Amino acid sequence: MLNKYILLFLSVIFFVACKDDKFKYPDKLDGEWTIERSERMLIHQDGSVEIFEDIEDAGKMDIFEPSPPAETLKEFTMDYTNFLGEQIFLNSLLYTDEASSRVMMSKVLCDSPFECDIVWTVDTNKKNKQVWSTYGNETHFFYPPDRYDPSNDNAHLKWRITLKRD
Amino acid sequence: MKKYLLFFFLFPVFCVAQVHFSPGISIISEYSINQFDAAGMNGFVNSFNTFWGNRLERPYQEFSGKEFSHLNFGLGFRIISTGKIGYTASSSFLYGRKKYIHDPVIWDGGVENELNFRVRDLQWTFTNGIHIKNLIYLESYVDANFRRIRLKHYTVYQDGSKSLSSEYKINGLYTGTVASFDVGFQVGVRVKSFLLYLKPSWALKNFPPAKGLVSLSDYDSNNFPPTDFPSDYIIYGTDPIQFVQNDLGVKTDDFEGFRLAIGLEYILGAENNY
Repeated sequence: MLNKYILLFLSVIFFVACKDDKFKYPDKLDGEWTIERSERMLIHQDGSVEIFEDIEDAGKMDIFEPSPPAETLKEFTMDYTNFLGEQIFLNSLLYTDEASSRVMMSKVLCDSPFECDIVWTVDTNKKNKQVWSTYGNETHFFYPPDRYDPSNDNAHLKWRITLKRD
Repeated sequence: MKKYLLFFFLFPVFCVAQVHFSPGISIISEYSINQFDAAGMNGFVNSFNTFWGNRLERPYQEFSGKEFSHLNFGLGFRIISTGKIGYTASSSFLYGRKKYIHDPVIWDGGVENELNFRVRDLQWTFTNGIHIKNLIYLESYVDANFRRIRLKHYTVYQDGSKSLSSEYKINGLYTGTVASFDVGFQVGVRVKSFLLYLKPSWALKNFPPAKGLVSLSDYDSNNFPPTDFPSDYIIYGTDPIQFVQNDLGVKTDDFEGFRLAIGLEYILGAENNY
């Protein structure tokens, strides 16, 4: 009788302990994506939003294994055309935090380990659809000169992209 | 204290003359009032309010230290011996988690800062004691507790957009794990298969050693240091070198402390036919 209970107890413990805890999020992003929509806007103090860029089918993003492979890193290419018609091509590494709440494009703004990444906040995280946003103060995206006091600005910049898996 | 604990833990063994044991499986549900040391988080709150006082429409409120109280669920194993006064012992795994959003600070102009916590507890518990007529249970208690903490610092804009991005340095995901060893006692009343219990326990400070050195940190941050969540915002904002040298981040072992659990254990088996 005692052995039966011990066996049942240990079986449950082994089942729980063997649960796969592999870091999933960067792997889920592998593949080719269309930038279905790119929106840039100003958020004003009264909560109104002034959109100054709204492009459908704004480009492509390809996310794949880097060489050599790394568990928490991916390589990506992003081919994007903004509202001025300027084509921007990015190729770098991409990583996420453990809660899958941010996606970071490594060293795409400059070449330093510090403050050169584009940090996207993940708004929607689905297998075939991703919505990411990044922000700034009234005049500068990513790393504005004053990064401590948001009350100085009359408005804030937001850039939101919607990705759809091809 | 150590002698007392040793006596308390071993005393039931000397009471047992019987050798007939009855085993059982336990299904456990409890509500745990968790107290943590709020000094670190309140250091942040007070220094932030002092630093930005004239720019804030509404400052941060202080933490009470009871914000992470939550339900636990678990599965365990219990044995009792026969006799009017008999031996009992148990071991179980308990799991519980808590989401907590602290009252946001509101800046002039309407932008808010939000502190969004996710706390997950995994406990491995042991009790050891006596039962009286299989009705009253008096047991010593120890557990190993692993607490995972995630703190998201959001900037929330006037249209409701929530940002963890880099436009403000303090935005981010700050994480840490606390491993604590808790001791206490458990008093229970058993009615048929149900054991209703009360369980106070205290975390042993500085065990495992050196855990007080670990800060709640944004490990994926690409900011210039510091990347720890500040316990002193004034130095964080004005003198980052001093902040790093004096290690002024909020420490993970602040997030442990006294617990008072009230629970119900459903026992399959472990009968006493004395």
